[in-house]
Amino acid sequence: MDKVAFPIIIARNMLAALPKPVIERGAAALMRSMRRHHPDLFRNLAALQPTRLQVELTDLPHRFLLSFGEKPATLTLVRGDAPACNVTLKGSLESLLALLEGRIDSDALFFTRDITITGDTSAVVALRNTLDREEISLLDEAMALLGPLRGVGRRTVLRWEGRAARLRDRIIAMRAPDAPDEHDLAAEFGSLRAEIETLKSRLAKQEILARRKQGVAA
Amino acid sequence: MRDIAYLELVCPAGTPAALRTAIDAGADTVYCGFRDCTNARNYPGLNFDAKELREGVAYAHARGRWVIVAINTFPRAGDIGPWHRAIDTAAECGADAVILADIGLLDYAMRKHPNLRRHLSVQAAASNPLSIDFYRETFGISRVVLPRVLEVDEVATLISRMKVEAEVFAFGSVGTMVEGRCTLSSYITGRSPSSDGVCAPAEFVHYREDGAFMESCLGDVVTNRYAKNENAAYPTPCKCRLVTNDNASYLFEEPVGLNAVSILPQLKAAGVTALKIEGRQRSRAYVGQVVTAFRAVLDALARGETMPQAAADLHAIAEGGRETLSALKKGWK
Repeated sequence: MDKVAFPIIIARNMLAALPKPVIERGAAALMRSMRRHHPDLFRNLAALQPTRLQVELTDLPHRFLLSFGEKPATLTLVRGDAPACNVTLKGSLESLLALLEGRIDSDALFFTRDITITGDTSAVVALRNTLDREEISLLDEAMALLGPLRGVGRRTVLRWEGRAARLRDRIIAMRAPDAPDEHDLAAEFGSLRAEIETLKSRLAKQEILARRKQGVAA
Repeated sequence: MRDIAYLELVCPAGTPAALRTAIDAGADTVYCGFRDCTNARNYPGLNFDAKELREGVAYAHARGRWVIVAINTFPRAGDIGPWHRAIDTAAECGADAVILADIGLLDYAMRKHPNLRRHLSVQAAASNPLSIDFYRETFGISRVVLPRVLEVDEVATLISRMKVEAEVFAFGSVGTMVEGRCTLSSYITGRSPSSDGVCAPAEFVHYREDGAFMESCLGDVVTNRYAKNENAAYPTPCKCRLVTNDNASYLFEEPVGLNAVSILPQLKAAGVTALKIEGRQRSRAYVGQVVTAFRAVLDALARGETMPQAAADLHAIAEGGRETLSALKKGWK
């Protein structure tokens, strides 16, 4: 299957809308999926110096804590006060996801100040180099969580991302003097919203099924 | 026999994934190093072990390309083991050449692995016919990587007087003008590119915000201070901004990236054999983007066509977001 960039508009909106416990469970599930598909990555991460890296999104009100070195790597959502950490990496969700997937050069982002590092720089350099050894598709990882529905999920998400991108472009174009009809935009927004609600409900069902399966396996 | 279009494209790989990316994007040759002080890009998480090199060589050879190994630092007194092991491992893994700078290592490689090609690293700073001839006659080098101090005319003159292949830097970071002799980093951190393989080691680098400004520091030394939205540079001592007479400026090197794509026909006419892309410390995204652009240009030039526009899209990944022809067209002496 072709490598496709993670659908950033959907990701940003879901992270903005979903409650923190759901995001927390999603992050943990994603890490489990990646551990299964990229065992070398986790082995290499474990070989690095023990590090607690705070990832601060500049376009969303969320912070994550990535821990690696010695113990198995974990990703948790930060709640409340800033946790004790060696280093903080700041950047937009889009930049950081592109970095994770190796689609963008981190030095170029550093030159343009799109990402900033405070604290132990060597920990971020080591992490970047370790991630860059792997060919990661976050979309594939996320869709793997849907089990047999991964193919349908992938097509649906990419279709919605395409529609959301077109909607965003039209909203940007609305600021131009020759703005499009607002009714069309409202209808498309309503339809998109309904589909997102459907997706949320399907995801919730999948989560329940997965938990039941885990219960059975245990 | 490899099918080289116009000029051989020699590309960096800091990881096996970057090696595959470079080969897939059209590199003729990929250079890489081991995970230790034997190569000049000794950064955490970077470089190859023997198994990865062997797999990388197999991947490249299956596609008719080369992998060469940079063992281009200078051994420390009484600690020659890692450098000898690196040469032996490169040979055992089937590498097509080793890039060496130290005369002791050149001698060792020639005696122990006479059939392994030897390229003279830029770290040897050989920039005149007498010097290059000495390396050829004494150590049987097949190629010299020329220091980034020569204009195109000087490159042409030099090539006309030497009997080995010439490789020149075509893209990437520009270092200090005395290759292989830089000890600026050692003054601040105790570690140097020449012996430890690292300039401005990451564990000595930190950044701090000071109001609207961002400061980059190497150890206790503030190397630069950036205004909001001002492009940043690598925190290396040669690219620090120094204050003299109350005026802050770049006295050694400007934070700009070399891009010689506009003068490839002149380099070809000068007799250059290979173009080197700098940047084993950069990501595979960088490798993919630069190699793709240079491949398109070289193929177009080989067909006698004009240069495609793709080559102009590299400034965003150049250091500091700016490009230069550096010494190749320096306009100063």
